[in-house]
Amino acid sequence: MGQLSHLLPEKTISEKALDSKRCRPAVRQMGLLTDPRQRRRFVLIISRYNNRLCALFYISGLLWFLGLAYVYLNAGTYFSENALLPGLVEGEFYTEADVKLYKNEMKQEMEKDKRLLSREWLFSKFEELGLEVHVQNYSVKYPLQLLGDQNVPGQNVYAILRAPRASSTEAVVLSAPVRSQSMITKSLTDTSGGIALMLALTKFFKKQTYWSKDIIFLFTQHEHIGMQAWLDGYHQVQSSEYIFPGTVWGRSGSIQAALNLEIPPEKVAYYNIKIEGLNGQLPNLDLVNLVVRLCRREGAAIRLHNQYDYHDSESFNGFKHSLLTMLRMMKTQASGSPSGNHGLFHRYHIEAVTLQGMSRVHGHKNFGLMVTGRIVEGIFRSLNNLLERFHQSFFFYIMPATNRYISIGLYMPPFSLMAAAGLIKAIAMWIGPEKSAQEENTDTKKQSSKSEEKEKSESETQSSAEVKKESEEEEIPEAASTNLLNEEEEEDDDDNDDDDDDDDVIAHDLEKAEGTTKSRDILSIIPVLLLSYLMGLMTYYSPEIFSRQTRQLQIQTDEAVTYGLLALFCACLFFPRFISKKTSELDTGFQVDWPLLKCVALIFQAVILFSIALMNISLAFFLAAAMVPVSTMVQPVSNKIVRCLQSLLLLLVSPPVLVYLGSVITVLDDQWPKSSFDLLTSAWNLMRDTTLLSILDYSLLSCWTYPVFCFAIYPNWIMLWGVSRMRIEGLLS
Amino acid sequence: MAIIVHICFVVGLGLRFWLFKTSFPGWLASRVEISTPLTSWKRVMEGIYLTREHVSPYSGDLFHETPLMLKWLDLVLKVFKQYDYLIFLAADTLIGILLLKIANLFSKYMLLKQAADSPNYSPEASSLLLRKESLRKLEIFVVAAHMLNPYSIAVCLARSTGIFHNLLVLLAFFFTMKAQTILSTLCLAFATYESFYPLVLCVPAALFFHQYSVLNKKSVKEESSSLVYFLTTLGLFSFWFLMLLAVSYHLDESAQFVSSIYGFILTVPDLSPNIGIFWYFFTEMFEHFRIFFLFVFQINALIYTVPLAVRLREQPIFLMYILTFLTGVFKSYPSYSDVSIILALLPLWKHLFAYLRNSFIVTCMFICCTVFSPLLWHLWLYAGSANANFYFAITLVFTTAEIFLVTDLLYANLRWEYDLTYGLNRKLEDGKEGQVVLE
Repeated sequence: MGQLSHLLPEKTISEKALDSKRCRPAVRQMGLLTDPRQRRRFVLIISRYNNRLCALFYISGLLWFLGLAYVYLNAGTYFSENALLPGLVEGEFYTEADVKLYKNEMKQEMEKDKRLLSREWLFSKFEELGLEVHVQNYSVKYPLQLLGDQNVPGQNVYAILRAPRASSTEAVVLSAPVRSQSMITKSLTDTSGGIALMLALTKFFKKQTYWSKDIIFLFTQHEHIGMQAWLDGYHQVQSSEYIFPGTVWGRSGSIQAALNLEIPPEKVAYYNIKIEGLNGQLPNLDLVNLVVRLCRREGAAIRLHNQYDYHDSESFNGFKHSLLTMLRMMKTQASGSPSGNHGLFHRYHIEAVTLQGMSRVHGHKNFGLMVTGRIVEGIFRSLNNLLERFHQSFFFYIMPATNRYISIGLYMPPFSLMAAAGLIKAIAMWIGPEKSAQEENTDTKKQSSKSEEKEKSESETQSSAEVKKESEEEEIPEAASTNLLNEEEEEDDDDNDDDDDDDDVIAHDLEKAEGTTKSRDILSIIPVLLLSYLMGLMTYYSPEIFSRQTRQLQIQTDEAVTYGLLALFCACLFFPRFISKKTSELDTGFQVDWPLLKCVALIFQAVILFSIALMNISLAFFLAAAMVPVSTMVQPVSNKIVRCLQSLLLLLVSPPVLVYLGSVITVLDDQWPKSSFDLLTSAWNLMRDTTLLSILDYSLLSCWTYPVFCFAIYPNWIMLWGVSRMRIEGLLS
Repeated sequence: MAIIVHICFVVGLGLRFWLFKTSFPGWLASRVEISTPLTSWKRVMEGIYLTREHVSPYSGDLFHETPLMLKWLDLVLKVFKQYDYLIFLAADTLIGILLLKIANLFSKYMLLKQAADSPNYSPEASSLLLRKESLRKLEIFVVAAHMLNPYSIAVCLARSTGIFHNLLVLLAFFFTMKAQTILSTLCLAFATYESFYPLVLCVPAALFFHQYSVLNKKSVKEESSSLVYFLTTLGLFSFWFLMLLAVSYHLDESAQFVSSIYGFILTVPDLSPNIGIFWYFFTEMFEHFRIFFLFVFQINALIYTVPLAVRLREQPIFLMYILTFLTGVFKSYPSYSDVSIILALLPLWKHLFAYLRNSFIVTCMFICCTVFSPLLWHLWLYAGSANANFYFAITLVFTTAEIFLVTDLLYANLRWEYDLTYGLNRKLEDGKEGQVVLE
């Protein structure tokens, strides 16, 4: 810290008292944070060009992000973990007789009971093979009182093949969901082929001597719930208050990796690899590479979301194709719910993927269970080589093809550009009034004390020196108080990020007590923040309440929840009315400092987007793509048409509409409907299902999508809505 | 005015009480940003259990509370049993009351000092002078900044014993401002005994006693040099500190606690992550450099006392605050409890806020770090998809934000002094606008 401050002339240094040669270099060393001139330039650029900068950042970020699907902008996959040695050994699994035998036996067994595959049969088969077999009895209580207080029992069967060369400290899992004939739909494919194959593989694996990790063969019931129950039971935790895993007796070592099979009994046309896990978590890229590589080795076609790798990836069509693959993958990841049973392993730090066999009605069906068997054999022999957990390769990536990836280092810069557009606007909002004050300064001599106060609040030395010449007497205490309030705001912001809304109540009281104009600015936005959080809180707790009414109203739970949430949303739209009512009561006028509100909302948005991007880039990208342009544009307007347009735009990016748009796209992507009416109704149905499922996923599997929407995206949207409904009179006065 | 203070207290306490009933405290207690090895409530429970089993808690390497604190918490827990959260509510209330008193004393002191110094001020700087009315509001801001501060609330909910360390430091502030040499040094000694780093606060305390005597004698020229005050303060401090050690020795019947507490603080054997700068650096380091860098880092935490004491000798309370701030940033096991005391006392310097230049950036940095650190922690340790560098990066940003704030405050203080002395007129001799530049 230097001893003295010096006076430095602004433009030319003609001062005798000042040694310019001595002052200049000192300034240069100080950097952006301390050098007032650099700082001033920065402020000027932001305040003058912020709109253009925002547009530039957003558009370039968006295009860049989408452009990443182009083959020259992403990278080819490679193996980081050398221990895997994929495909080094020759596949030895050629026991077709076994597979056929088990397949037929199973067919008979399933004809006996249409509803579920007999667990006793599975149990006895594994026992015959000489493995240690266990049954896990678990029970589920459905949330939202879907089945009243009834507990639904379930059973998982699993067998452990003890490694002859190790002491059961490590294990790998081969799993398959058990689905009865009645359950099978388009999305839940038949998995009995995989189960028969697993039996045959067990027989084969049992004879081999090279295993150094235990292999657990696992058959789960109730899809995700059964898998969650088994994982909870195996790790002796209870992660959800609705799933009671019971006791798992047979245990092996820590699970290193898992492969989930969804293979139909007939020959398949191609395989799909499913990677997206709970909350958008992905398996280590090495495991994905391994599966892809071994499929290739067997000459089997492997696809990502039914999208094959385009032969001519450099062409424009190739780009479009890989863009579609990438967007499909991102859509699945953004939903946050796992795309298969493998997705639940990720939470326990176990890398897992699902291999799904797709059979087509028409066309070639090339790959029988034997091919699948050799693929699985190859994967397990590679996993057997692992010396440590998967850690080498990427965990954060996006795949535009099965052999290309976009790593976090590639997708973060364009995403940051998009999110930075909002931040720039936030900074512009923060320094905005200063700019206007400076302009006024050149135009008119007289300034309103308010803008001076703003100007001073930036406490940039240059501007403060300018202002001081005009009215020295008044502004320092004012400036001090403004900055004090900034400090207060800091705390309030922190509060909002946490949970205590009551703080805001106090601050509101503070405001009333002080009752002076200068303190209004920051404290006036606090009711808006408080309200938006209350609404988020209400949305979070309301499904429980709505579902209780279903019995009396004789409606389905999904309807009750969806309509209830929509009603709540519509009610929230009118919240600016609550605030404007206060305007008429208080004579002084309840005036909200909208630039500050917008600034807070935008910063809040940036924090949300970056936080989500760390966990689930796809969700963050879609949110940023939808919300950033609208939220940067929003401001109070007097023109009615513009106002309507703006409200419409805002509604378009509101959470329920976003979910609906997501459903429309899903329906379109799945199958082009006959009429647009068909599209809208099926999207509506899908939205109802999605809403209910996301709440169920939250309660059962702790999928974060629903709380994130309630506590982050929704309140943030309400703040922006508040900005757009701000009274224009407030601005003028 | 008073009613707002009361509302702050009621709302703050109500909020804490309500949150204690939820599952939130359990999660907070497991956060490394709040519970360090020195302040973790789990470790206290372990220590109490061991003592009750007649095993010395210091024989292991888990427990690092002082014997007196252990004795006291043991006694209190026997009374409160499962209502242990009431202790923390009480401590937080006490901190609130102390802050209130400190704010009042501080405004009195500032006015007194202003009156004494005013002949040196530039006549143009009259608008900068502190006024009684604005100072009276201080107590509201200070209390609100504590009772409604999310950091304070989190520290209280996590049952961090850092709250008692803060209480002792604030008591030291309070008695120093009351100019009660004996009690002040006792509190300083106690705070040092608990967490070592408040040691440096002896310097501003001595400076304050000197200044206080000068201010109160007014016209009479005070001849006795500040050396006398330094010697008395240090003497009393050492006496109390040794007394505390002796009592502890008597309680524990061994000197094991010394290495278990001060050895633990100074040699930093526990490298579990926290918001400080030690853990990452020392995990990365080769063993044979360790001693050298231990000295460097610990000296770094304390060295600022000397230059700052020279520069800020006229503002001992500001010095005291800055030193609390700096040791809170650079100490070996910092946590949010250090942040909470810093933020609670910050409004005392609201006359400097007009000169702060980075408040916007610092605010954003604080918010981002607070949100991101649990997220990156999750990615690192639960999801396994990130690594220690991610978490370290965010704690480094947090530390940087704190440093920005403290340097900004120091700068603001210089500017304020400058403006008081030279006035607000920035015109150069040729009539153009000038600009103040720090060199």
